[in-house]
Amino acid sequence: MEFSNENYKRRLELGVGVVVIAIGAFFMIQALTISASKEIVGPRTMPMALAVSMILGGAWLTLRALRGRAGVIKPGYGFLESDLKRISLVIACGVAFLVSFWAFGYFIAIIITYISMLYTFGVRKKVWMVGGALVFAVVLQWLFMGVMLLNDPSGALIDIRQYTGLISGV
Amino acid sequence: MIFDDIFGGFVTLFSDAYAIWFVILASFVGIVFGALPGLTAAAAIAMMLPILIAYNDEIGGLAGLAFLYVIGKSGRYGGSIAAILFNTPGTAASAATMQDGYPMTQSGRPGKALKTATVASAYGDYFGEFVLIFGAVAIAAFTRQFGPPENFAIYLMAFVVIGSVVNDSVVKGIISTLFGAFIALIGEDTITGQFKMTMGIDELESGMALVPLLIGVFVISEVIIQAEKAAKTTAVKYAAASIDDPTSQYFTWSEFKRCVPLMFRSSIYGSLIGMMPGLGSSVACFVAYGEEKRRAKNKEKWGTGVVEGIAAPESANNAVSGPSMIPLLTLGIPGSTIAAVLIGMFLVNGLQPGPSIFATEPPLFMGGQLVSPREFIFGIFAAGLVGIACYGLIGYFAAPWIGRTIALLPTQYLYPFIFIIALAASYSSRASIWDVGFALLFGLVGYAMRRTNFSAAAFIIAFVLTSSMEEAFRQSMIISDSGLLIFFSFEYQNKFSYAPIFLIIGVAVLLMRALSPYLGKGKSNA
Repeated sequence: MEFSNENYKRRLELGVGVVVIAIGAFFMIQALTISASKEIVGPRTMPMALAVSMILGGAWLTLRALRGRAGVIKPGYGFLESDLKRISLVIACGVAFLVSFWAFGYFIAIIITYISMLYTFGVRKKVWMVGGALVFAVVLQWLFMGVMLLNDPSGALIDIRQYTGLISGV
Repeated sequence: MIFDDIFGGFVTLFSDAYAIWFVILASFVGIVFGALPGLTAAAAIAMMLPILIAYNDEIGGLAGLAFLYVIGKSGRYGGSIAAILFNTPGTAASAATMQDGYPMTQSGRPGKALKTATVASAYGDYFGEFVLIFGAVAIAAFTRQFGPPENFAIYLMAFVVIGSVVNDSVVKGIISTLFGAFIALIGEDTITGQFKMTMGIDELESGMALVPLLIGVFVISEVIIQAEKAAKTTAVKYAAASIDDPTSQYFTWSEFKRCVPLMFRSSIYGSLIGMMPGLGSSVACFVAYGEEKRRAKNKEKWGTGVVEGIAAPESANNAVSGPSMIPLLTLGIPGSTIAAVLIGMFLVNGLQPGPSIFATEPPLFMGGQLVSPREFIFGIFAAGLVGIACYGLIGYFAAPWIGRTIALLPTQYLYPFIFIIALAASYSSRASIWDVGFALLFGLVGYAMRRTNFSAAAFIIAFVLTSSMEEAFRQSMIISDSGLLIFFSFEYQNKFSYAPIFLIIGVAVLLMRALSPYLGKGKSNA
C-alpha cells in the first residue's frame, strides 16, 4: 500500500529535517555550556561532535526533501492517520498523574489517572471505572510502597499517608 | 572443557530455586506479552526491570538475568501466536509468519499452525543457543586482548553498522543513534566529575535513567497508538473456521521430517543475522521466508497455508536470539534492545559485559553461594536452554488457549492498565517523579520516531553504549602520541592494533547500505 500524496511526504520530510537541525543546534548550545578543559579531548568533545553530526544529518534530510526526493512511503508513515485528540488525551492523563502525584500523593494519582485513561479508551461504566481504579491503587500501593519500600512523598495539598500506610504497612 | 562448563551452568542454575522458578515464569510472561499485539518482549522487560533490580539481592542475580534473557526468547515466539490467529504480528519478528500462518487458521487448522511455529521456534532457538555458547567462548578468547583504541573503534563500528542496517533509511538510522548517544552524555562526566548539559535540572546530574527511556519509547508510544486504534476498532479477532477433524491440528512426524532441512538452513540465516548488531529477527524472518520460498518446489502454494511457510521464518527469527548476545558477551556491544537492557542487570551484579565475563576470577556472591563469572554466564546459558524447553512445552499445549484468551481481553481495559504500570515502573526506577515526566516525554518522542521511520532500537542501543565509548575514546587520547591517528595505526604501545580493521568494516557496511539502492537499480537495468 502506498500513499498517492508524494507531496505530503516531501513536506513532512522537510519538517523532520528542520526539527533534526533544531535539535542538533539545541544540543550544540548545551555542549557549549560544558567548561572547556586543558586536555586535547575533554568532556565537551563528544557532545559537540554528536551535535555537529546531527545538524549535518538534518541538513541532508532537508536538502533531500527540497530536491523532491523523499523515498517510498510505507504504511503507517506520517501523521495523516494520527488522532490528535487521542494523543492529547493520553498525554493529558500522564500530566494528570504528575500533577495529582504532586498535589495528593501516589495513591490518589493512580486513581485519577486510571479513571481518566479508561475514559480516554472509551469506557463509560462508572462502577467499573471507580471500583477498578480503587482496587488497582490498593495493589500498586502495597506492591511499590509496601513491598519495594519506595519513597511515598506526601501530597503538597493533602497528605493521606496515615491511611495509605495501612495498605503498605509502612 | 566447554561441555564441563555447560554442565557446570546447569549445576549453577539448578542449585538456585529462584532462578528455576523465574525461568518458568519468564517463559509464560514472554509468550503472553509477545502474543499481545503491539507489545513486545522489550516492553515487558522495561516494566519489570525496576522490580527485578529492587529485588536483585533477595532473589540472587542469576534469577533476574535469567528472567530477562528467557523473556527475550519466549517473547519472540509469542509473537507468532498473534500472527497466526489474528493476522497481526505480535512482534515485528513474526511478520513473515502471517503469510502462511493466518491462511492456515482461516482454513480451520490453527492448531497445526501453532504447533509448527512452536517446534520451529524451539529448533531455531536451540540452534542459536549452541552457536552462542561455542561462538562466544571462542571469540572472547580473542577479543580479551583489546585495549582502548580497539574498544573505541568497535563502538564506532557498532554505531555505524547499527545505524546503517536497523532502518530503511541509513541517515535516519544514524540520526537515531546520535540522538540516543547525546541523551546518554547528560549528567556527571566520568573523568572530570563535572556536570554536563543538565539544563539546570538537579535530577539530571546523575544522568538519564534507562528505564524511563525504555518505557517511553516502547510502552507509552504503543499505548498512544492503541488509543488511536481504540477509536477505530475494538479488539483483535480470532478468525479460525470450524474444526471438523481434530487430527488435522497436529504437526505430523512426516511434516517435521520434511521441515528439518529447511529449519536447519533458516536457523543458519537467523544465527548469522543475529550476530550482526542491529539486524534483528524481523530481518531474519523475511530472509528465511524469501529464500526458502525461492528454493521450494511448491512455491505457488506458499502464502496459502503451508507448514514450510511457518517453519522457515519461525526457526530463523528465534535463531537470532542466542547469537545476538555474541557481540555483547565478546565485545560489550548489545546487538539488540534486549541485550542493551541486559547490560544494566549485568552491571547491577558486578559484571562488565565483554570478554572478561568468561574469566574464572574474581568470584561473585550470588544467591548465597560463591560463583565465578564464567560459571555465572554458563548458568544464564543453561537458563536459556531450559527456557526454550519451557516455552516450547507451554506453547505446544497451551498456545491456542492463550490466543483465545487474548482475543477475549478488552483492550479498553488492558492498555490503561499497562499505562499505569508503565508510569509506576518509571517512578520506581529511582523513586523520582521526574522519571515519570521523562517517560511521558520520550513516549511522545517514540511515537514521532515511529511515525517518521526513525529507529527506537538504535536510539536505545546507542544510549547504552555511549558512556563506554566516550571513556574508551578519552583513554585512547591519553595514551596516544599521535592524537586521532592512534585509531588508524596498526600499532600502539608496541602491540598490534585491530582498530583500523573495525573502522574499515564500519565504513564498508555504511557504503554498502548507502549504495545498495543504486547497485540494485543498475542490476535491474542490466
